[in-house]
Amino acid sequence: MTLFDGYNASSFYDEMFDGSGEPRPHYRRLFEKLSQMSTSDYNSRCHLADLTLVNQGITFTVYGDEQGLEKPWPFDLMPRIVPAAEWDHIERGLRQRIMALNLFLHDIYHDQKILNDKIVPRDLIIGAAHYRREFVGANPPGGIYVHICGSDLIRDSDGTHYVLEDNLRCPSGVSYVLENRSILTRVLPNLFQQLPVQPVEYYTTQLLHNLRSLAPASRIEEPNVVLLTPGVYNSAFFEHSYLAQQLGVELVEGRDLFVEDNIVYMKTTRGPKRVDVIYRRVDDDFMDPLVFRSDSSLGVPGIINSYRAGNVALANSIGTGVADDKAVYAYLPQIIKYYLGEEMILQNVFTYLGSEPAQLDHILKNLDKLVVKATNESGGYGMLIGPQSTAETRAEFADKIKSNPRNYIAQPLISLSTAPAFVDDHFEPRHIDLRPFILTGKDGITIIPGGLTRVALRRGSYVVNSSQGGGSKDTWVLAAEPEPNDQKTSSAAVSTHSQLQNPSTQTQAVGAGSPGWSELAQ
Amino acid sequence: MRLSVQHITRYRYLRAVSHSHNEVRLMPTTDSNQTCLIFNITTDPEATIFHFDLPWGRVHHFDVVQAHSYLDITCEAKIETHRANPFEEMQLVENDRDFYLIRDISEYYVDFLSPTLRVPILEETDIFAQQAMARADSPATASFLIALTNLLHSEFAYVPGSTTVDTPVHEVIERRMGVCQDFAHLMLSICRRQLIPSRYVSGYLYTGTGRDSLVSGDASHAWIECLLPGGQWLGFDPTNNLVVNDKYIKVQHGRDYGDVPPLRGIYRGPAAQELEVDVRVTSEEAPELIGSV
Repeated sequence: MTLFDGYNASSFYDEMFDGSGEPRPHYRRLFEKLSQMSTSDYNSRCHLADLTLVNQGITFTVYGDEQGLEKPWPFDLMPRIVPAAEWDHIERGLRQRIMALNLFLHDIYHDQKILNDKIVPRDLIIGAAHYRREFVGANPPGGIYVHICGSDLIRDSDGTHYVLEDNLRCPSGVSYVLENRSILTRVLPNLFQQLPVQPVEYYTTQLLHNLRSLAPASRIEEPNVVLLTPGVYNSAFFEHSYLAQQLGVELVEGRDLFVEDNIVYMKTTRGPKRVDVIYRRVDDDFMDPLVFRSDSSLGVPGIINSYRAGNVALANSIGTGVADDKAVYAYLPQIIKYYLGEEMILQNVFTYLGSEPAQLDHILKNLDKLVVKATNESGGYGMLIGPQSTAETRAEFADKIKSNPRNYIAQPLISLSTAPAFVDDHFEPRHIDLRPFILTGKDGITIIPGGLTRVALRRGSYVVNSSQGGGSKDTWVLAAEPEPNDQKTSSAAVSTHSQLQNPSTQTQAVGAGSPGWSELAQ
Repeated sequence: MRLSVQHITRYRYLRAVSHSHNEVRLMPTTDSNQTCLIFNITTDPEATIFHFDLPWGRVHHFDVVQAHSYLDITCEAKIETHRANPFEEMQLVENDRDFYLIRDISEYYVDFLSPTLRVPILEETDIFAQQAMARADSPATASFLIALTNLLHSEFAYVPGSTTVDTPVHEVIERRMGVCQDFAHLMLSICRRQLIPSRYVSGYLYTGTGRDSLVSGDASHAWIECLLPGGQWLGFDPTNNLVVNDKYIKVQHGRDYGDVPPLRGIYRGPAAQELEVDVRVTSEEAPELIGSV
């Protein structure tokens, strides 16, 4: 009896096993190793991992849950493996998206060419909840609006990757990527060493480098970088404190900072200390009661005007939420084409817009088949999964949609791919997604290989958000096996370039380019 | 006309306050109707004044971090206004309302057609639109807007202190009274429902002396501007039943009051404060006529 007995992914795309039940090539070595392992041996590793998590206090917070604020982070030990060519395709797609999104944000806060050229409807942008007219004409350092992006990828039953959303405000989860890796290397050291797994640990070094480079010119030698958190009650507080520690920067709350003569200072026991760069994990609305919500006690009065004047840098910038509005997402193929002259590499999920009368009609008629989302919510809140809903909730949603169509979009339900997760004493398929983290700095874009694989730990569930009962896995992106072609090239730079042009990758891109989304009725 | 404005705001706090951060939107704009020649802002306690520009005007800001028990903000401006006769730009004969059905127009001016916190779009305003249309001299948009200005002036009583900046439009309709910003919000609500792009204007009105029938509020005045089918924006003042002329000094425009508050501030300390505002608009052509409002 092995750990995989009875494993059946049915009609879904399984990351580990192909349709005939054979392990895919990039999983073969892992499969062989695990097949030799007894249930009790694997079980003891899992306990070890859980213990490590609890001891290190790796937790998250669920809003509206009465059983206490913080929960241990559910971690599934079985890694998710991504082969090199597949990752190459994803990485190119993500780079393209973030480049286009940064150009788009700069444009809509300056010349608005894309609106004047009628590529994207003006009323969709100007009327968006997260459009910050107070920030029109402001110039963030280096013209970068989104320094840290977390994009959510899912995989349909035919194996095609889709981007479900690009989170451009304060994406969470990277601390779990780093912690999952550190746990796995400790609990399963042999497995890890036998595969060419690409490292992720340099994330914090790169982030710190990028943040420091944003400092005002006069302060660039020794910039003071801080991480601004809303405080211990925030669902991602663990991540805020973890990242501050890893970055070696102060973790501050709004009340620790103040502005005098348009300069931001931090209160210290030795008097005020100037602050140059703020990695802020506080939403726009709460950043500055002088400019945005006057009832916010989480922010710093005067900080936005200091930022506008270039006296302090913020990451991410103000007003990025307009570009991750789910209705704007539907226009991303046009946005990429407009700024980069390229076709979209990583596909969007087909999206019906409530703002378009014909599409609204389709949404209302097919509520039982579609996934409906509020355009400016995230984290799985404000969402209807049609096929899993009751007639009553559908009627409720229909009313909400009719009263504010602009606020809703709908998408077909994508049958998320599965991967083995350890349940009781054996592996069962569970639905997963992937959130890679994309860093944009003055000298380019960095994506740590992989990202956060989130697992819907409840059987049959599609919701992977940690706020809704999801867990996570370590993601192993394998280094490319050396090919004969590569060995002939002399310079490393040329070799990298040839990998990008690798024909095998191109083949995959074609597969991904087909409109293979499917409606899943169940 | 060459006009001068002196606008003094005095805050008195019950106990000392600190970390006061303030934004000032009081500099008159410069456009085809007026030129702002001089603008000065000083504070007591003294503070460094910073500014930045938004597409619709300049914002000054300053902070007073140390403890203080009072704050005085003095703004002085000199303005040359040019629009002596606004009627000469109006088309007052033909029905030109089709202009507002052009998709490009409604899309481009979405900011000035959409409901806002203070300007909801309400079915109950239709009655005012119908009455104004019946009163209008012609089917032209400008005639409609003149009639609407006139209607609101006659139907609503100007009662200082009867409302606050947060009084909703429907309450103003019920009570049939308010101040200039209430009438501006109400007229915006009516015009936007009629698909006429309209915006809130903050500013001043030179009333001269001996003309008690003109009012301009306790501090600043407020009126609205509508986009006419000729493509120009024209001001209408329902508080005074006037089409905006060269006695008006425009500061800034926005979707509603919330976009262009003359002063916006936040400080640490007890909320209780006394506020005193003193506005004087004078004309250089008649220097002895000082209009205090």
